[in-house]
Amino acid sequence: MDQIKVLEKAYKNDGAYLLSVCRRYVRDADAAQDMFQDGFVSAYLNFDKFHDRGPGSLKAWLSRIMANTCLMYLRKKDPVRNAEEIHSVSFKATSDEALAGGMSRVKDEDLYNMILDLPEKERTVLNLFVFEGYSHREIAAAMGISEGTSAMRLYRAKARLAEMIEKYERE
Amino acid sequence: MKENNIQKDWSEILREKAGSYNPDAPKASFSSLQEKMLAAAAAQAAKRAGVRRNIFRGTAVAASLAALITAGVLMFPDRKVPAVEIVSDQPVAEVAAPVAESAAAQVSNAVAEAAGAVAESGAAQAASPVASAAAPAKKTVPVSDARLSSGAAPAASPATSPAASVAAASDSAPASHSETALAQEFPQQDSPARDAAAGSPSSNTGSVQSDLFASLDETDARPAGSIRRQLRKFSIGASGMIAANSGKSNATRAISQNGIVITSDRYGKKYCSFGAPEVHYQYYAPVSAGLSLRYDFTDRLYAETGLRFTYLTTSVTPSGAHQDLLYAGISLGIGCRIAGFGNFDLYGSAYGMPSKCVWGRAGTSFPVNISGIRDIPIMWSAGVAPGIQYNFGPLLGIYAEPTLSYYFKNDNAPQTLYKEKPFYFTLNIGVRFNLQ
Repeated sequence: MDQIKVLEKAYKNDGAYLLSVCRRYVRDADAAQDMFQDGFVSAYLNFDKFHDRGPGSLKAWLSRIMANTCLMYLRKKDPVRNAEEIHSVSFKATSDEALAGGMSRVKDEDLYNMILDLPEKERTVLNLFVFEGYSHREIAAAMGISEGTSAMRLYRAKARLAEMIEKYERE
Repeated sequence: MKENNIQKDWSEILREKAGSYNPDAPKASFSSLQEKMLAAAAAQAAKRAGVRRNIFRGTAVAASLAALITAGVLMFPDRKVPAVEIVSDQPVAEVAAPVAESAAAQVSNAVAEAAGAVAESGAAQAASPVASAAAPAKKTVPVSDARLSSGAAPAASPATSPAASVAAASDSAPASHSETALAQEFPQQDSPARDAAAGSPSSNTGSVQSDLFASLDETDARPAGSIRRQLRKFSIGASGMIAANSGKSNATRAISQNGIVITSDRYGKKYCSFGAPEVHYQYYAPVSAGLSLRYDFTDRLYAETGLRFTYLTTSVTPSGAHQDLLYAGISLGIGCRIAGFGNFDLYGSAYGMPSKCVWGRAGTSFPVNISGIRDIPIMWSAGVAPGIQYNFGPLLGIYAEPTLSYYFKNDNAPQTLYKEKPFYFTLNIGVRFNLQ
């Protein structure tokens, strides 16, 4: 029962954050609610694998579980995950400094929605790289793609974000 | 290093700004979440217990089959009688007579009694004008057997019979002496017995015995009137399957929003409380038919392959939608003949079979839709099947095989009876044609 209490506390304190993690991967709000619940079930079933390393460790662990649950959902939803994308869209080269500057000028909510507007595969790689701290090798293993594809998707996600920010600033 | 810092900058900004924005709150209360967690834990425990149960069942089936085969081999061994088969162009009586005489004359007391009876019958058969050449030769067998196994003294007169020569050779008599004796006895014959007796200079008792045993005839191990089993042959079988638990089998499932079946019947109620629609499946008894090809490696061991078609129907309530799937499977297995009783053969086999869905249709309201035949994964199964065959003659037999099959779980497989009940018992009935 201790596990239930610990998870209940995490639900009350970090529930909204964990749901937003699911939402970043699964854009559909209802599907994200499902993933959130499945994530908590998965956490309960695998609670023996959690090692408490101080404040924030449970939140980080639950966040990873939510991300993995969403990844499994996305993989089931789209089993053809190894197909390489056709490079039909060209992007304007944007420096990381310019991107960082643009991001700092955008509201949190708008930046969040820009992430949701990214194509699913690019959004997934961006989420894993930025928010979960995965390396390209880990992303490749998690998504069943090559490291090169992971890097390419991240590059394209950044380029799309830069375009969105540019458009946002123009408006 | 600089590039890493720059990358960290933009990603850090993104993490801080977007990561701190939480637009929605969870809809489900924690109490309902707790209910779901407990149900999932119970389902997981049941699944683990099921896996343990399946392992136990599989082990029990394998052990039972092994015990059955072992018992069959121990209880009904081939009655192998060492035989010296004499092939000769000479008239039967000329070959058989000296053999019988020498057998009666040379063996001592107990050995002589046993051998004498056989020798007499051998001589009697040889005297018959319709007796075959093989018959008297086979009847000489116990003589040589008795001598070989009892270690009787070498023949006093090696020139009297081939059986005596065999004994002489096996008792380390000089090879040249045996050859001389055989040459005297069969000056114009090219006989396996002579070859066995004389042999090469290095031949010994063991090699002679193995040669003798190699000439066994399976017909001797069977009751009179039984069908002779022929080795190294192909046989073709055509069979149909009768489901042991025919009729309808039921299960209730809850379907999540993405159409995935999320829980089982036993623990489904708790899941269903979350609003997932509950459906009720009915599985019709599968219909199956196929062809098989069997090849005998040895008298006992055989390999079998076959093509089997299986038709699986599932309906769902309340919509009443049907799903019909036709699988084609290629089986590959090995088997062992355990025993023969008259015209009956008892055998046991084990097989593995991948099956691919070759045709299918599903109603539009069927909960788990199939986007295409190609998306349906291969269904793997394995099983054991003791069987009994009645032979009408050397070419035709009918058989029945109670089969216990296990269908390996695949979450992506369509909802079928085999997904619901991985262990399934059926009875295969068929006809088998033996090819010469």
